[in-house]
Amino acid sequence: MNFLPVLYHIARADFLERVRRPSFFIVLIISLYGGYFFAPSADAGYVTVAIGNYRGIYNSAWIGAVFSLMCSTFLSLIGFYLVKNSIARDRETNVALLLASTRLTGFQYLLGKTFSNFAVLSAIVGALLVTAVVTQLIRAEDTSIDLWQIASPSLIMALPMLLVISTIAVFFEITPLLRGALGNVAYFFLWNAILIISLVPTEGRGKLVTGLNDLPGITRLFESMAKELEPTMGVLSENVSLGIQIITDGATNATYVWSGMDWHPSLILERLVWIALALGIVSLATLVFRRSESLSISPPKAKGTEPPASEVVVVEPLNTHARLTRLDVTPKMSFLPLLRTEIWLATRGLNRWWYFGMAALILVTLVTPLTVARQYILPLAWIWPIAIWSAMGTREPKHRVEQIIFSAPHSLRYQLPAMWGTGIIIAAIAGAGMGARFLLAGEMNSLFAWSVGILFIPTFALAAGVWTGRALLFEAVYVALWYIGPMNQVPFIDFMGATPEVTPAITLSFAIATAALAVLAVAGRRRQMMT
Amino acid sequence: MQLSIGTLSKQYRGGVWGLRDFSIDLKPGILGLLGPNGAGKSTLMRILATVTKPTAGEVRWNGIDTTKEPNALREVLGYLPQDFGVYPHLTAQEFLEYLAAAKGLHGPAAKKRIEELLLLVNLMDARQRQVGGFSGGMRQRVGIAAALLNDPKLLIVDEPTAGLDPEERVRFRNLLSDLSGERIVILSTHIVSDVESIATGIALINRGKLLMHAPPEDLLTKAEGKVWEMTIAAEQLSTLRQQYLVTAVVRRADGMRVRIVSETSPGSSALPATPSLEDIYLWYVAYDRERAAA
Ligand SMILES: Nc1ncnc2c1ncn2[C@@H]1O[C@H](COP(=O)(O)OP(=O)(O)OP(=O)(O)O)[C@@H](O)[C@H]1O
Ligand SMILES: [Mg+2]
Repeated sequence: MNFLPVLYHIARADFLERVRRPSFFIVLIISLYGGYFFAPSADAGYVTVAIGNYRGIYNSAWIGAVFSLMCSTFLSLIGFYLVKNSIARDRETNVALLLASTRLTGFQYLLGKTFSNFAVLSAIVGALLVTAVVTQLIRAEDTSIDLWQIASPSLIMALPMLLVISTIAVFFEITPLLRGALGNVAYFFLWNAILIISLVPTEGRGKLVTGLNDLPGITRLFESMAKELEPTMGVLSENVSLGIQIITDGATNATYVWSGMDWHPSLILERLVWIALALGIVSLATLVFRRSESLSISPPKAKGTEPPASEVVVVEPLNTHARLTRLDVTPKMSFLPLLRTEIWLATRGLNRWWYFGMAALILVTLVTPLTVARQYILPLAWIWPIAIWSAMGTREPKHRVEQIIFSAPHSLRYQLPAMWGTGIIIAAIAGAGMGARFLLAGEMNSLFAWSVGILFIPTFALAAGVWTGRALLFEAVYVALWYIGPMNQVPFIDFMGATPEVTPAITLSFAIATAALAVLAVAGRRRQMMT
Repeated sequence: MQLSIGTLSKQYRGGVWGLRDFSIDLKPGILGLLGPNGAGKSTLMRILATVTKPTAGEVRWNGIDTTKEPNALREVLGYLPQDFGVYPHLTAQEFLEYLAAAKGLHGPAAKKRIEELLLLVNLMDARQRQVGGFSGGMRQRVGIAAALLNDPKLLIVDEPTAGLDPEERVRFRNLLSDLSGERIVILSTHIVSDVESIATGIALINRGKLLMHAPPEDLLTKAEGKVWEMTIAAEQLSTLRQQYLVTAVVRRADGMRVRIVSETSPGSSALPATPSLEDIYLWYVAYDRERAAA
């Protein structure tokens, strides 16, 4: 088979299939919306990209840089979760089985998937660039449009980053351990690490290493922005900020004119290194793929306790002698038996180490100092069962038992609450140690936050699960929320009592969110049940 | 006990009609739902099992509209979908216990029922094994057992014999005919022999439409004198196929023995034969296809 045409066809088919999905439009709309806010108007009260007290006036150069920064920071996070499902889909629909029987090589297949991932992300970048032009005109600080100035930072800085992200998504998808919830959590930290590493100043080191830590292109853009400012205003190049900065009362943000990047050939060369890295990741993925291929494309089998190969499975014929008697009781719906079986379902697939880790976390919350327990251990205990929560509402479609489950009577009144209850019980057990600590320490505000957290997390998971049918949305959003709030000690987003400063008002807002999510979950389930 | 289906239609997203103005009234007995691939059998069954919403029309179970009040029917429903999965980490016993609980059966009564069903489908020895490791045929049996858990009054089985070997198919057929009695059983298939001997009614469906619904005896009498057999030379087969509906060909020493359905005798050497349900099924479907082409 010809290498390129085959590649093209895989990528194209995949791309078209994916841009037709609602999730693409949701991310697209969020991005466009975000794009608008990423270049706030002068009186918006906040800035996103600033050098010390300065921001560039909204000319094409500055707007182009801001949009590129947005792509390589924000889009590289949600974009990953958006594209990380192309192989999973093949696996579900057994296309993988078909592919395995053709002469398509693993490398071709994975490269095709990478390009399709990249095409999806590039499509969003393309739409953002159009928004960039519109934004510049709306802000009207400088109305002369220079298309190259607007597009070049995204093309040269953001796209290589997104290409690498596309390959990482492929790599995660074919690696058994990184395929599920663990991978979704891990990516968040990887993403975080990429951004942090890129901000390490490289000035003064050897020329060779300069920029090789800067996959997102953040530092390169900032260096250029600061350099232009330095001779006139003397602002330090370290004093840069990215992300929403509220302008405090009185302080005004000065503007200056930045004339854009000087695309030096060495810089272009530097970006090519990332493209090479992307190819390297695909090659590495191919090696992993070959090894896991035989596992992943065979029909789904139970992990762990498969019968040993030596055990011959004897299939007895249907019994011709057995007779089915009439059922002598009238079925009567009851909550507890269902709850019991739902707990089985939620916990059966987990391995020993999971239980061990969970038990350890609960114990550690009891014995560590309160500040450590609340700040580090509680968040960990409430991320540990993430796969159990994200399975809620998605388990039936995943295992294709919807038709059987949803045709059972009163499942909205019994099975749904039993599943929900299971999630709540898991949250309560995981957080039990912390609850006791809060109670003993008399930290009522935290205890309140903690108890709402027990309800909030599973309810959020359920609502996301029944509406999307997939674990991904909850996993991605929850990890982000968890990281920004409890982990970083931001009381505002503390839904578990991890910060001492959490107030009943904050908790109340999470309680209201929980109630809204609950309504959403029931409505979503109703819709999911009868299509 | 009555199931009335009135001018039921289902249009899928993208505009494909899965079912069109389908009406039928059913009383206790076994209905064989026959139709080629894509005829709309599963669509109909999913609507009856209350997991798919019809675009138009209604289904009434003892007078109650099942779209508005699905639970009345669900309480007495047993449904084996054509395409279903299992929770791989549960054992057969646990999976059935879970489904029993979902249907309101629990405690000792559920245990007893599950044991009986495991015996019936002969999975007693495998009951402590995780269903994820089961073969296709074994899973199908778990599905059959699951459908029978609540002793359903309406049993819907969608191509239940797919994945079963020929011997199993016979056994399953016997099982179904034992089961019937005070219940309505609807069985879909495109293999005529699955329903030939046990169905009390046959419904032929194609392109989402009901072609006809009658007891098998009536169908056979209707086709009396329209089925022929003759022996021809191998080269003649393709010309014959263009003119007539050939329902079976057997290679013999003296040529091809063919079975033909035709209003008139297809040739001087043709002898009348006893019609089979298969002839009738093929005849109706071919007729419907012609009508669609015209
Ligand atoms: N979920 C769906 N979305 C869109 N079209 C569908 C869907 N399910 C079925 N169809 C279409 O509806 C028609 C009837 O399909 P259905 O599955 O009911 O046929 P069937 O008689 O069960 O076929 P088979 O013997 O292959 O199982 C087909 O044309 C099919 O393509
Ligand atoms: Mg079907």
